[in-house]
Amino acid sequence: MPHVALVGPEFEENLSLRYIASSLAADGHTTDLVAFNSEADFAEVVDQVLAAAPAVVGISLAFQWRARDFLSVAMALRERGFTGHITLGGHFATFEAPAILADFPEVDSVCRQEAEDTMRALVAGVVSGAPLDEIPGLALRRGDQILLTPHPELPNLATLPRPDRRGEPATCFGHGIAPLVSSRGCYANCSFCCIAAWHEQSLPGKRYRLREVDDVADEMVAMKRDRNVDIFVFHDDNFFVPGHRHNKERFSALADALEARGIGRYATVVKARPTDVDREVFTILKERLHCIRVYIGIETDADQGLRTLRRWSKSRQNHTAIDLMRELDLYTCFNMLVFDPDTTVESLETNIAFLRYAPEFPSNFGRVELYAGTPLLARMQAEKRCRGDYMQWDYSLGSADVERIFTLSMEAFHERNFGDGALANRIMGTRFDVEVVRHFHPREFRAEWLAHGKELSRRLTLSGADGLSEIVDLVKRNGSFEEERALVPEIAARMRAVEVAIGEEARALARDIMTSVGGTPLTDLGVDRVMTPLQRAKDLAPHALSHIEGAAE
Amino acid sequence: MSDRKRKLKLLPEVLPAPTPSTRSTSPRERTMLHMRRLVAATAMLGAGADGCSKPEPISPPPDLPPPPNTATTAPPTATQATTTPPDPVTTATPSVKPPQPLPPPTYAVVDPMPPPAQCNLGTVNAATKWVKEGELVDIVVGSASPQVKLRNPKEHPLSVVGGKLATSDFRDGKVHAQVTVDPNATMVVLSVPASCPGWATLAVKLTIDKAKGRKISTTVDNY
Repeated sequence: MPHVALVGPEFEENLSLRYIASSLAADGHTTDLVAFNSEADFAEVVDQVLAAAPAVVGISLAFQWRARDFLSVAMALRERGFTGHITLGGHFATFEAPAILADFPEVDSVCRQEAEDTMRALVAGVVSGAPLDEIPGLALRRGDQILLTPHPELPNLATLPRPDRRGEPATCFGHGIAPLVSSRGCYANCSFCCIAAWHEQSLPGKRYRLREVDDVADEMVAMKRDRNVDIFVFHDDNFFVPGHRHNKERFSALADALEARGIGRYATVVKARPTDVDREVFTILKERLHCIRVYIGIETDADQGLRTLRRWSKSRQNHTAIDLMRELDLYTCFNMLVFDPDTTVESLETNIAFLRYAPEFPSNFGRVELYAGTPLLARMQAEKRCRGDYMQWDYSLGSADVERIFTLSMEAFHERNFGDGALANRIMGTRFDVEVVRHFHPREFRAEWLAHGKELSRRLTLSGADGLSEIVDLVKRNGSFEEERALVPEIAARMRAVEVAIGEEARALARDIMTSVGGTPLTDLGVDRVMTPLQRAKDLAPHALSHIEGAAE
Repeated sequence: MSDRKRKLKLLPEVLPAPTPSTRSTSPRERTMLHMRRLVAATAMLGAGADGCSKPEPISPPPDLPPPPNTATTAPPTATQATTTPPDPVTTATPSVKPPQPLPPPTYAVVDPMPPPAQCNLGTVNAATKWVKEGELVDIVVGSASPQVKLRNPKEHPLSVVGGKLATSDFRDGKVHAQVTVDPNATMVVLSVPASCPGWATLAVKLTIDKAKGRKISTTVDNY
């Protein structure tokens, strides 16, 4: 049977490609999963695809900020003489299919929206030579025109083959980790979110679908039995449904199903919105589903930001969420989009105050980006505030003062907040290490590890809030260029010093835990235990890509 | 809760309205340059990493490929591809290797934010002049913004498409380079690592107009 190469990021098990791989296997097709995680992988990725001589190459174009990397693969394959069919998929490719097909003749088609069924039909069509025009969910080039075939029916989550699980799972202190989804989509409709835009296109109004809890439980038990997975990371766009009562029922049913199957000791990791936080629901989450970490999408605490981002939530719900996490002693982390198109100095100060309100929980901050297909991009284009092109939009903030604060804060904080070594991200792993040991090794666990983990986050967050406030104050008093040049490099140097100190303490903490419980932590100890030689080499390169998966687009 | 299939209506596609680009290069051109840089970068890393066999280099042409619809050697169209399944014999496999095992997965814990799509290119300038007309060109790249910092080529090497790097230096925050231009090249691209404030690679593009006495016009963009 024909062979298919599926190219995408694979830091964690890439569920989008693995769902497609298992769907293709149901038709008898074999697949290669070709991991493209960093620039250093590029030549090997191209080599691997060519060596496999697949009939079809599927390239994941989910993340807009990596589009050029993956389109480069298509270009290089053609230059090396590849004559098979190249198709793209994912959020960015779906929304920008006409532009991509117009600009990149190397690409034959785009699978729009959820592509398990579309890929099966596409591969069958390519192999048989049948016309592709009747296959729903495709974008095709027809002369100078781009043909969008009818919208695909959504795959039935009840009958979809479970993801291909080839390879060993990741581990933390010897406990296997695997991602899975119990649903697709999110009931909310944030203006900046390409996930919401994607699901609004496919299932307008509702925007989410659920798997049966028994099916989810069966998958978890199978992974526990067959792969020794103990930690289940739910990569649902939102693990929660509207209404606390429904969540209580669903989570209790899942816990019941897992207990009935005798799953044994396990832990879960989930994502939520602040509006989902409820004492009873989260008690069930912690006590019965053994949740050890919940990401809460705070995003902004300013009334202005909540409106601009169409968050459907209020500031008091953010605070209530943090208060309850403290009360339940449940590890949470969050991001804040402190810069958005309407940000004011006042709303910035509100968000800095929120960082100070929850300093022991790892967090990060940045700017709202403009993703393909989102209402926010459409608005900014209508207001003619975008710069660049569809590959990556930049934009002007709402006032010169805010623009100046943004520019200066990126100068001081870019290293901390973004990229491979960003401590604001890595510190989340340190706290995860502590929580894994607290849950799975209660006898070895020491309370001071948790206190230390919280303290590291507290120091990192408060140092950042202090630095941001100094920049805001400089701009508010209309500080001169000379003042700016004296202050910002000094803040940057101070931040780097804090990061070095905290990073060293985090590694020491991880080593301390290792000594007690064995295994290896997620905290980077200097030599990554899972890096290939090429991955290590790329860390020496200035353009190393982020090691992270699942960017919050 | 069941997951019933729904009868979906055919909805109009909501696509972003086209907006005039303010960049000096097209998405295709930038991606092509990026691809060339990736090829060069991985070849360089591989040479120093483990000495294993590397793929045949994709030799940079003197000119970038023409834009869509004008290519003389365009790849097969979707129709052609669908009617002509790949022939394993004719498909180029210069360094056939068994399928690579997946790298062990990790768990990054984070729900990260991508870095801002921000680089104030308006503050970057590039000056060019022929040292030896048609053969050797001198390029000086500078930045007027404290947020856009050019990197020292000794630590972050430059790369060139359409020529070969003859010399490079870093003085007063400026990158100085001399490039030996490939015969018949009408375009040379010098890739300059920078931080603005995140890592970026600036593409300094020299267009050589042979009809006007090899006059050079220069643009700066990032990939």
